[in-house]
Parts: sequence; structure tokens; C-alpha cells
Amino acid sequence: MAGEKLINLNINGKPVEGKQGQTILEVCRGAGIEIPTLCYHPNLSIVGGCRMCMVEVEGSNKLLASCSTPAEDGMVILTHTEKLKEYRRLNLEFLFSERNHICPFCESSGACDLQNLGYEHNMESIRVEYLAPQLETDLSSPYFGLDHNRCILCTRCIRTCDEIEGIHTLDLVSRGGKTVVGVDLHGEFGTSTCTSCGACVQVCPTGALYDKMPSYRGRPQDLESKSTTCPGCGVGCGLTVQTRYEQIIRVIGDEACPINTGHTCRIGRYESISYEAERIQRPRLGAKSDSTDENTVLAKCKTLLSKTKGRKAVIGLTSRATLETGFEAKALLKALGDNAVATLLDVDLPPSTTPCGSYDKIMDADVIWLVDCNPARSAPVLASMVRRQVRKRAAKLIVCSKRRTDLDKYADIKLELTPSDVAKLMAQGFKDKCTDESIVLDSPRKKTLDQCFSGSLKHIVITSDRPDRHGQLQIFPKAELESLKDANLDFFNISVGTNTLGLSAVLGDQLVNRKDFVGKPFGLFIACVGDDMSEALSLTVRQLDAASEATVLLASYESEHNPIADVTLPVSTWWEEGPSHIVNMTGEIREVESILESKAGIRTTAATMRCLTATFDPDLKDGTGELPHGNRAIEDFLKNVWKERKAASNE
Amino acid sequence: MNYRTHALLCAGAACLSSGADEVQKKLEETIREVDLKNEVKIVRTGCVGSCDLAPILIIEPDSVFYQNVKPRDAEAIVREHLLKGRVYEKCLIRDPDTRNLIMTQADFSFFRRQQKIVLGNCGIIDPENIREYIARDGYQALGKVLGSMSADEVISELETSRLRGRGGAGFPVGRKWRFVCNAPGDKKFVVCNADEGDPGAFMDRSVLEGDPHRVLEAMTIAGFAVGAQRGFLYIRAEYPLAIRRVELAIQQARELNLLGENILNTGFSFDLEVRVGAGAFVCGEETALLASIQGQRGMPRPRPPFPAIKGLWGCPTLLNNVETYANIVPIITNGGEWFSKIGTERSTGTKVFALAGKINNTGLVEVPMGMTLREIIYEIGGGIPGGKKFKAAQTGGPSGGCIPEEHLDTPVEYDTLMEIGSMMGSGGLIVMDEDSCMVDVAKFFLEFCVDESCGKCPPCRVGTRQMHRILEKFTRGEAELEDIEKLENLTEMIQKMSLCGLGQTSPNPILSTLHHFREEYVAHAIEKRCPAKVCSALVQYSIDEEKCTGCGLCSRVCPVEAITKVDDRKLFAIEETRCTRCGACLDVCRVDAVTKTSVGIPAEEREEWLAKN
Amino acid sequence: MNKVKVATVWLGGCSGCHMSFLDLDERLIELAEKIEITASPITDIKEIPKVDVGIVEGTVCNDENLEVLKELRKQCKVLVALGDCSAYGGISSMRNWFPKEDVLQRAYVDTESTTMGAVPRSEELPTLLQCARPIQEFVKVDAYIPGCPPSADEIHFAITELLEGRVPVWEKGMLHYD
Repeated sequence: MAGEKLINLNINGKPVEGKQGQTILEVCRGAGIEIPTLCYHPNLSIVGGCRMCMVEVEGSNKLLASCSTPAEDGMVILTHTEKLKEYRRLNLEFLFSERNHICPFCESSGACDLQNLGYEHNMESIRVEYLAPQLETDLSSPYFGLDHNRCILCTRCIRTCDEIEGIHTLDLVSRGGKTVVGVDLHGEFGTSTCTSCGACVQVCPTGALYDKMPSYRGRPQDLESKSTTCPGCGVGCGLTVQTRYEQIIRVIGDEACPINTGHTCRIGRYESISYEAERIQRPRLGAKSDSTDENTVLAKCKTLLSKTKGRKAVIGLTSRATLETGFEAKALLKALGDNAVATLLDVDLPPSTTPCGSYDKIMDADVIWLVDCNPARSAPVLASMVRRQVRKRAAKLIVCSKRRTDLDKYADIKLELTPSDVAKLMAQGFKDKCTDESIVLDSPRKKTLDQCFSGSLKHIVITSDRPDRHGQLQIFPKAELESLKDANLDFFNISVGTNTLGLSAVLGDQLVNRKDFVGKPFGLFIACVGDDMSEALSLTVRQLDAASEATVLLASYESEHNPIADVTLPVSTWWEEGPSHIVNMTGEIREVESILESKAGIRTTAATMRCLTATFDPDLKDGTGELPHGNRAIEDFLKNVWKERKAASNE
Repeated sequence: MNYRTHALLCAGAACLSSGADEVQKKLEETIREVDLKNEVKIVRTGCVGSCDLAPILIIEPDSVFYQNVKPRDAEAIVREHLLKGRVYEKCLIRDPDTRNLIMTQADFSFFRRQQKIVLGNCGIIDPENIREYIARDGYQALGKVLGSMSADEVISELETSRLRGRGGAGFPVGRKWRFVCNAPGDKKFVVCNADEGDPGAFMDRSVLEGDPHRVLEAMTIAGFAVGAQRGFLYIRAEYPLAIRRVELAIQQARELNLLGENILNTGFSFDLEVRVGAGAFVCGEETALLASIQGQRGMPRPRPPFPAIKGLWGCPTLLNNVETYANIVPIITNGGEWFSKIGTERSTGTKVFALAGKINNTGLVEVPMGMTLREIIYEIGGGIPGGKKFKAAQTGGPSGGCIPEEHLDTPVEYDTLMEIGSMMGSGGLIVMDEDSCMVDVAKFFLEFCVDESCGKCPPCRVGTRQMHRILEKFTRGEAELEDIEKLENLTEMIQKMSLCGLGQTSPNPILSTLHHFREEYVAHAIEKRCPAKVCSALVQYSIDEEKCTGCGLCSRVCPVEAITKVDDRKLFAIEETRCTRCGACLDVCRVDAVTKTSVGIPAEEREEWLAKN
Repeated sequence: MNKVKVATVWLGGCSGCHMSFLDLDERLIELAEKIEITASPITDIKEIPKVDVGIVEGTVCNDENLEVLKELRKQCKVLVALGDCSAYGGISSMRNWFPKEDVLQRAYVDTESTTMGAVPRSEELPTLLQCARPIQEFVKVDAYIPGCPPSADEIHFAITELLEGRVPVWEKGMLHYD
């Protein structure tokens, strides 16, 4: 780690200041001296393999790799001598000659580190023979391809897979010129342990790993990049979205976002965009063929409301609904009358009404408890943090679940206990510094478990409120543990959806559990589905549609899973929603940007709701008007809510 | 029980594979038959060194040296020598010059000039019996260190000895121990590099097979000196006998409390484990070796940090080679001063070499540093067979170089070898005669580096293959003069830019042959001629009409039917366009009628040839 | 003033580089005062005379390419590789990552538009080499004009430099491999 002590170096004849603990490369880059690199990546461990960053250091008879050599006070360094430039160029020629690095038919031409370095080193020819081996191409993944012929063996993908995603599917296989990046040794992506997070594709400096969907749809100079927040889950990762001709070409993790620092998961990278689904173009009554104009539809809505007057009205929201939508929903509830409530269509509520600690706590934990949840499915980036921490042996992992989870194989101990039994076990453990005899474990694992309670270790409990086999919602009784004095405990509830916390803060008591309505007839159902096409959500929509007398559907895509509603209104997708906000599971406000222009005649969910409100009660003000102005104000608003809740729960 | 005679049967790998076990069976059988059981003891020893004479049996106290002993000779030796006291002459060796019989090891020129420190116990004691080692003062050095010396004193003794690392680079051992000793950290490790991978080298194997306790004792002393609690011996899987004997030795040492908790009741605890390498040459490189011990892929990493500061699992780690450790016990026992007087000023002590190639006596020899190559090759090695001319000696394995005749009188030291473009390396010494093509030799060693490159850095992974391609152009006769320059450009870059020693030294065989035998490269490039007549694309076979008897043997062995009868004179001739230059005809001809030539393009025809091609 | 004699050849390539040369447009007229194009696909003169500059488009794909290349090398003082194919292998080397026989099979037999196809085998046809290779692997090259194709401006720059007696140096920004 770079300390604060300053050191003085002489680089290329000029005095340069650096910090103790920095490498030569870091000092140079800090001083604006660009040293070429291929295997180096700021987020990954150092391997010093590509040899591009070699520099001359006075007093050393060998050239040194600047990426791995610590800078020292008084060092005299030359970074761009003629010799070094010639060596680097020859090194590049070796790489170009080794496999297929012919640019005109490569998808990555224009976004290739190797090519760029060729340009930088005036490499107008390759003076050695092309070796041209014929290697395999692995196209078995639905999302990306791996062409070994384009690989330079920098191992960035391997390190990302190991150190960031924490799965270690990739590693080198064979040696010398036969070395290739192996997927589960000699397997292929399609049938491997790969989580399809795509991080390897993102760090690949050449065209060896490439996304299939964006292939040949635009070179970097043709694409426009914008940052936004991922709609996938409650983690709230930052995404960078590349577009061309008002189409999303590629999604990658946002390097600048502190939550995920460039990492993302299969959902964020590949599944959050519906390339093939058909958009709902116009408002309609009943089936698709009955498209009509908006006034007719709004008039129909008013009729439906008066028809169901006096009975309960329900607004169903996807947890992806933004804060803005939440405030509009609140206004709409007012318009619908005293008998109206809102519910979340994809999450059981109340899951957690207060935010959990920051993600840093996971990367600092000594013991991680996974209680009846499977973050690898419902919060993959959080799962990658857990794997990272466990695989570097910094934390013990205790999986407590009667079901199988994807993280079982990393567990030090697997316990088949219910959440409430886990809480009991922990309570006793913290009190007595050891576990109950009733826990049947072999002695090494019993010892490990006991160790977890000794000393003042930092514990993380990751839970998910989900129904058991009998449909009974299992809620982890964290209050029992929070009161313990000695326990250093933090809780993460991953059943929180994209904006569950935000919606719950805005709607408060008016937000009730979806289960309360299933099979109990009520009046008007306004389903705000947006672009969420998940099965869990559409199942709830169908159940509530069956229970309601009339349904108004606000959706982006045609879907056979959605019911034929009395009224359907087209709304924008996540990518057209912005600028708006959500609140992730840690309570952080995340911004949702407008990536694509909204389609003609299609409004955001919030704006569509506002139309409905105006239709039902022309005297009501805009809901969004209630939204505190600016992130600071929203933060204060949220803080207030959490404080009140905390006070309420303590009473 | 007191025995009258000891029969020392070499049980090194070469002797075992030549049938030492059967010899032993026969010896025991016959000894029982003639009822000498109480008078003769058979001792299975480590390697004696002269492996081309395997199996070897030495009868003590007469010191009679029997070689090439077959089971039926064993019976005869028992009946003649042991029973009747008559030397069994059939298994004695003869002096190649005088043809006189040689009776004892001391009379044999192969042994006469050797000085055995490292191999002091090899061929004398039973390596599988710790008591035999102890009987030869084994573990006394450890007792001395633990009982009366401080860590600093131990290291000072090494510094006085000026012992240099025997793994190849020759780093001062005392200084290395001092680094690790001074490195901050509670947890430290001691590692022995027994991943001996140079083609033809087997010094480390012989030490581990013949005298394993000497290494264990040295590592324990090292553990005490640097403050380590655990150590590893990284032995390549191709040495199953060494692995077995070392594991047995560790077990025996533990039983006698020479390893483990509270050694010799001094409060010092230290234990050793064997780690088996999976056969990658690069794992001999220290950082790759450490990665491999940690269970990772054996690939080097850039230094600094050096293993002495950050080695196994990030802890300070002392890493020495087998032969280095084998020198420690004698130094502790006799003092650093004593050791520093052996050898030369800059390279003290002895060095074990594995003699191989075109030389009369092959095998393992230990000589004081500073002996000249000529002495080693001609006096110990007995010169070149068949009266051929010496051409070059290759030292240092694939990282080393070829030394031509003009440097034969160079004393063998770390620095002198470097100066003449080679290196000490781990001790391989391959002798080549006039039949070796130096371009082909360079290509051979480079091939080794191509195969053994770990694949991590481009200069080594790709660069070695690119150099190999150019050398192939030479051997195929397709190279031009400018390819020499091209080759030199590549070698310089690969030396400077490669990550580890394997890559950095991979051009050495090319550089030294280019330096000393440039004319051979030029002959290949310009005249399209291979002076040593090795490169098949550049040689022609023909049949001498005068000598040919028309027996037809050559025609029958020719795999491509290129040899046919000429006219009806019953003589044979080779059709050059068909000939694949396999050389089968040359091997079978009993009247030397088949000749191999490499004519090339004579200077006067070159213009014409160039125009055509 | 004596004009500089130039010959150009077109090996395994798409002729795009020659097209790009023609894109010099009005600059061709100015150039015509300084250079004389002898043998070239443009003039359709096939016999290569002694020239000052030889320009090569395309990869060495077959033995005929190789023969033409060696002939040009012999006849010219300065040899220039024009375009990615001659400098790096380019599009023509796409086939290098498949066995030669598979490539011929695909091209002459398996293509969707072919029925009853057969790989042509005649002594008169040039033989395909195992790999398509850039020209520098066979002959000494004095200057390179990379690009697929190089733009007319880049070709103009290179020729101007050569006429001034300098080897063109491709700084970042001008150099491109696609």
C-alpha cells in the first residue's frame, strides 16, 4: 500500500516525486510518463509477464519490470531509451507473429491494446516469421467467444476470474508455445463453472475474448458511452452502456463506480437488455389488436375506477421502479382514494426496512454466514465479493441452508438449519464463545465453528427473506442478535430488489406484501411492470389480475406471460427512464441515466402514472414534486425515514 | 559382528538399471553356498561415479574395483576372490593406452585426480541406513552447531569458506544465509532445490541417492542459522529412488530425534518434507519452484522481491541446491578456513561434473575448482574415443555455452567460464568431437528451451521459437549471411527482456557457438555446406565404385529404394534426388564404400547458383 | 530530368491498394512528371524491366506469387510493400488458421453456391503455399506503406518521401493496420 512518505526519483533526467510503496510504473504514470503495458491492470495482481514495461535503472545490470519493481528513493530511471524502444518493438513483433494478430478481420481492431502499442512503436512491419498455429475457438458460451489464436497470454482474464469474480474457472494450460488459457483445464465455457460475468471479456486487451452480441456492430470510435445504474438487483452496480444508432450495443461494468469498480455480472452485462423482445407501441384496450389513442384509454381508466369504487385498489410496482415512480405512485394512491395500497410485484415485503452496511464490510469480514440464501443467483456481484474474501482465506464461510447453494463448495461448514435456528446458534456462540453440543459436526469443523466465536472477529450475515417449502416467509430474526453486546455483526439482506428500499421509504405503510392479495378479490389493479420480464413478477401479475375486477397494465414489452389487461399503456424501459434515482440495498442513492431517447408517444412510468393521477383527480399535484431536490436532500429524506424506523423498532 | 570383508555394491540408478539387484542376489546366494556369511558383508552404496562401467562392485579392504559385473561374474568373484583370495581379472578394467589391468580405484586415472568432499560418502556407505552415516561422523556437525555455535557463527563460518551456490549462478552462500537470517519475520523456510533438469546432469540425484542424510543435516543447520522451522526438498518426480531414500532418511532422522520437535534436547525444532516436482524444467528457477511448492502453476515471477525476503507464502525463504547443502557439513566440521584453501581464490571447494558425450570415461567426477578442462577431459575422462579430434566442451546445460579447444587450459571457475562465454551451471559437461555440427548443437539446446519455456513472457515463449526457426534455416541451407545478424539481434533482446534465467540464458548456446565457431554458420549460409557433415539437407551420400563389392546390403536397407544397381557391373549407386540422407547405407556397408560428403556450392559457382535460386 | 521508373505487382490481394493508389486523383498528373510506371496491373505490362522502385500489393499465397516477387526484387533497387497484405499478411492470411486442404475444400466444393465442385488441380495452376505469408519473409523490403488499404494521402506521403530519398516513418496517427 502506498504510504504517505514521499520519495524522490530521477526519471529521464527530470526529478519526479513518488510515494513510498509505489512501483516504478505507478510513479511514472503519476508523473505523466506513459510506459507501455499489456499484462498490467490496476485492479489485478502483478505478474510482470508481458515485458513491455521494462526500464533501465541505474545500478542494476538487468532491465527491470516497472510494474513489479518498487520505486526507491534516489532511483535514476530511463524509460524510453532507443534500446528500450527497439526491444519493446521486437517484443511486440514476437507477439504479433505468434498467433493470429491480423487486424483487418478482428472484432477488436480499434479497441486493442496490442494494436495501439504497435502504432506507438512505429511497427510498420514484422521482421520475424509468422508462426501461425491453428488453435481452437471456443464458441460454446451464449454470451462470448474465446479465440485462442488472438490470445497473447497476458493472463488478465485469468486473474480477473480468480481475483475479482472469485471463481477461478480460467487458468493456463500446457507450456511454452503451446500454452493456452484453459477453461476448467480442458473444458469449454458452455459447460464449465463459468458464471458468465463477462469480466474476462472486459479486461482482454486483444480480440481473444469478445462479446458475441456486439460483435461487428461498431468499432469504439462509432459508439457512444454513458454511465448508469444496473437494474438487475439491489446491489446497484454502475454500468457503462455503449450505444449506436439509438441501440444498446454493449454493457460493461463502470470502472469509476466505487461499488463494483468495473465488475458486473451476467445479469448486468448480458441479461438486462432485451434485444429481441417486441415493444408495446401504443395504448390499447384489451388485446394487442385493439390499439387506440391515449385519450380513449385514459377515459376507460376513469370508467374502470368508478366501476370499482369502494373496493380496494392496488398499485403493483416492480422493484425496479425508480424513486420518481414511487412518488408518482404515492400521488396516484391519493387519487385512487382511501382504500388504495401499493405492493411490490417481485419481492416479498417487508424484507428489510433499513439499509445494510457498506460492501466494504464484506471485504473486511472474518466470518461470513450465508443464511438460507443464494447470492450467486440473486446478487451475483455480492457473491463475487464473498468468494473473493473466502478464497483468499481471509474469511470463514458458513453456509446455513436446507437447500443447495452455489457457494456450498467454498463453505468451511455447511449447516442445514432454519434461519431461526441459526440465530439461536449464533446467539449462544457469542454468549458462551463456543457452540452447542447439539450441533452435530465432526471435530475439525466443530473446532472451526468454535474458532469463529473466539476473539472479536468481524461477522457478516447474509440473509434473504424467502418462503420455505410451505410458503411461509422465513425472516431472519436479526433483532435477537443485534442486542448482543460482544458481537461484531453486520447484516445483508439480499432479497432487497433494485429499488425496494427507495420505494419502501417513499410509500411507507402504504406498501404491503403481495401475498395479501392473492386469491382475495379486490377492485382496480394498476400493474407497473415496466421492462421487467422476470417470471416471478409476471406470476404475481397474473395472480393479482385474477383477483382484481379490472387491470391497468403499464409495460414496455409484449409478453405472453402478462395477462390481457382491460387497459394497457406503453411505458419506457429502464434505459429510457432517466434521469431518475434508486436506492440500493446499502441505502446509497444511485442515479439512473437516460441511455436511449424515449420512443415517440411513450412516456416514463412516472409520467404515465401522472397522467392517470390527473385523469382520476385533476386537482392533485405532481407526485414528483414531492421528491426532495438534489441527492443531498434525498439523502436527508432517507436518513430521516431510517431513523424513525429504527426508533419504532426499538420501541 | 566383525566382518573380514565388505563387498560394496553400487546401488545408484545406473547400476540398478544395469542389474545390480540380480548381482546382489547372486552374491548372497553364492556367499551362503560357500559359507562366508559371517565373514563378508554386502553393502549397497550410493553412486561410485563411473556410471558407464555399471554395475560396479568394490571389495574392501583390498580395494579391488570390479566393473561390468554380471550375476555369473558375481558368483566367480565370490568363489575366486572372497574364498580363495585371487583377483577375478575378467571384471577388471584395462588402461586404454597400456592395456594393463587396473586393480584398484586409486590406480584408475578416472579416480586418481578426483577430490571427494561432496561425494565423500557416496559409494562407501549404505544410504538407507542412518547408522552408517553416523558412523562416518554424520550429524556431528549438527550437534556442534546446536550445542556450541550461534547462528551468526555458523554463517560467519560459511562466509569464511567463500562457498558459492552450486546451482549455477554462484551466489555467495554465506551472504544468502545472512539475508534470510536478517529478513524480518517469525516464520521462515528452508528449501532444497533438487529439481535437477539439465540434460545429462545427475550430480544432485547421486548425492540424494547416495548420501541423503548429509543434505538433511545441512538443511537442519540452515534452519537453525536463519531461524526457520520448516523446510522442503523439491525433488523432481523422475527421481523415484532419490525420493524414496530421502523420505526414508527423514523418517530415520525423526526416529533419532535429529529432526522434529526439540532436536537433541536443545530446544530447537525443525522438520522437513519432500515435495515432488511434476517435470517442468522451469521449476528449477527459484520463484517457479516456490510457486510449485505452494501448489500453484510453476511459473517464475519477477524479482525483487527476492525469496530471501518474500518466498514461500510471503515468508523469508532460504533456497539452495543439493550440492551446495552437501558442502555445509564438511565446512562446519573442518572449518571455513580449511574449505577456502581448496580450489581457487574466487571459487573455493570442489565441483561435481557429469561427464558425457564423446569421451572415454563418462560419469560423475568431483574435482577441485581451478582444474583445467584439459585435465578433466584427458586425464580423468581419458580423452576422445576413436582418436577423433576434440571440438568443443559444453558446460552449463541449455543455459551454458560451448568451449573450443583454444580455451581448454582455462581453469574451471565460475568467473573464468563466464568470461569465455559459458557458465558453470549445475555441472553438466558434454564433450564433442569433430563429428558435431555446432549449428546443430546450438539448435539442439535451443529446442530444449523451446520445449521447456513456461510460456509466461514473450521473449522466451516466442523468441526461442523464432531463433529456432532461423537456426533451422541454417541447417536446411536456406539461410543467408544477414540471418546471422538477425539472430544476433534476437539474442540480445531475449537476454535482456526475458523474465527468468531460463529465457535470459536461452541464447547462450547460439552466442557461444557464433562466437567460437562462426565459420560454421558462414559455411552453412554461403557455401550451403555442413563442415561436420551432420545437417542432412547439406550432405550427400555416394558409393565408391572401387570399394563396392556389390553385396547389395545397402540397397536392401534403403527405405526409399534410392540405391540401385549400375549397368550390369553388379555395383550399386545412390540416386541423389531420391535419397533422404538417413545414413542407413553408411551404417551397414562392411567395406566402407559408402561415403558422406558435404560439398556445398563452390565459390566459383555461387553466382550461377544465386541466379538460379 | 530522368523520371524514376516504377513497377508494381499484385500478388494475393484484392487490388484495393492499387485502387487506393488511383485515388491520388489529380495528384497522379503531378506524379506522372516524376515517375514512369512500367510493368503494372494498371498498364497491363507483364514483363518487369529494370526499375528504381518496385511496389508490391498482396500476400505471397502461391508459388507464382513467390516467383513474381523474387523477379521484382531482382529488377528493382527499392522494394516497397504496399498495404497490410504485403506487410503483415492481411485478409489473405485469414486462411492460415485452417488446414490448407480444408480451405480449398471450402472454397471450391462446400460453398453454398457450388454444386458438383472440385478442387482444381492442374500443372498450369500455381500451387497454394501452406500459409499465406507477408513478403518480407522471402525478400528484403526497404519501405512499408501499411493500411487496409492505405489511404491515397498515405500513399502520396510515402511516395513523396521516397522521391526525396527518405524511408517513410509512420508516426502514431498515420499508422493503421485496418
